[in-house]
Amino acid sequence: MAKATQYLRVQIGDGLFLLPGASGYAIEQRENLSTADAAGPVAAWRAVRNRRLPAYSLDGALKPARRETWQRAIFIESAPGDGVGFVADDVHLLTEEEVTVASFEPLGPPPTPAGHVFGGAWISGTTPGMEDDRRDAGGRASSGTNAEVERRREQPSKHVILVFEPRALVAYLQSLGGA
Amino acid sequence: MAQQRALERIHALEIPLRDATLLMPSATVAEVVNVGEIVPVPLGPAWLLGVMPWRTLSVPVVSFEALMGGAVSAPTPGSKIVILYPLNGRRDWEFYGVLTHSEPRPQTVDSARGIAAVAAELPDTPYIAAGLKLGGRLLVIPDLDALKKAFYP
Repeated sequence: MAKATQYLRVQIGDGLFLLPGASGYAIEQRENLSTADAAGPVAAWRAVRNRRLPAYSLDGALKPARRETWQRAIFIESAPGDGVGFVADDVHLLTEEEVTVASFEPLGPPPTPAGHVFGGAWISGTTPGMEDDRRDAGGRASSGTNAEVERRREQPSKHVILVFEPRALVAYLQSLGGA
Repeated sequence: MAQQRALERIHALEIPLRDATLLMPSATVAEVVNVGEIVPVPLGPAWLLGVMPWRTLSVPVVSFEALMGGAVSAPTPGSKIVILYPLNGRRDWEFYGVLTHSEPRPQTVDSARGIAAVAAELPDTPYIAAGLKLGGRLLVIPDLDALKKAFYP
């Protein structure tokens, strides 16, 4: 996956994801969008020139889910003047210094013709040299001095945050229909 | 003679599942770790439990029970994650994990103790290549080529 100079940390329902800034995006407040009908997966529309771009309402599993309490939507540009969006509960901009994205490929069949919707992963809370409570293949606990054990306890816990592959995410959103 | 005996021995790890026990050569096992936070991977298959941090990598964790057509496994107090080396031909960071039902056990298999299981004794799934009866217990050996096809179709 291409290295981005900035990322958006996006909360969608109970899911937390990163969107690479290189993809080209716009964050729109709800009051600047026209709300869609209650039926269907589209929550709102963004007017761009003579077109309107849909913003989908999703849950943390990225399945369409109707939600009323949202304040902003993120639109990903797929071509000049074209794109698709989704409703986000929380958005933070992170610089490349704050994020170390490693390669990651989900297992199983890709959900879109453009591939998997995730192309990387960030282990947040990582500190260089950090060790796990781990065992070797024989089931023996790894050894360590008291100081090392204490150091491990003081480390922040690690969490995986999946990084969107924008092209595949666009393909997935467009497959939801209703636009 | 001693060398001959050594050649016939295989060091392996028993990986207990809910209704079966996998047997994996120790050479395929990178590490056994405690079950930590497993983050779900949206839009993934049911057998993909999620992804967990391991060293500097994000490692997908699999429910082998669900892969074999059963219910998705949930961690028990004795569960561990067995981290396995990347499958043949895959990139060197593509480790994967299997959730166990209880603590894995090291096992040494030699030709004098193990009896090959017949096909009728094996689970009806493409993901099991063979079986071994050891002390009256059935240990099943995963088909790594079939796993590769499921993981990276």
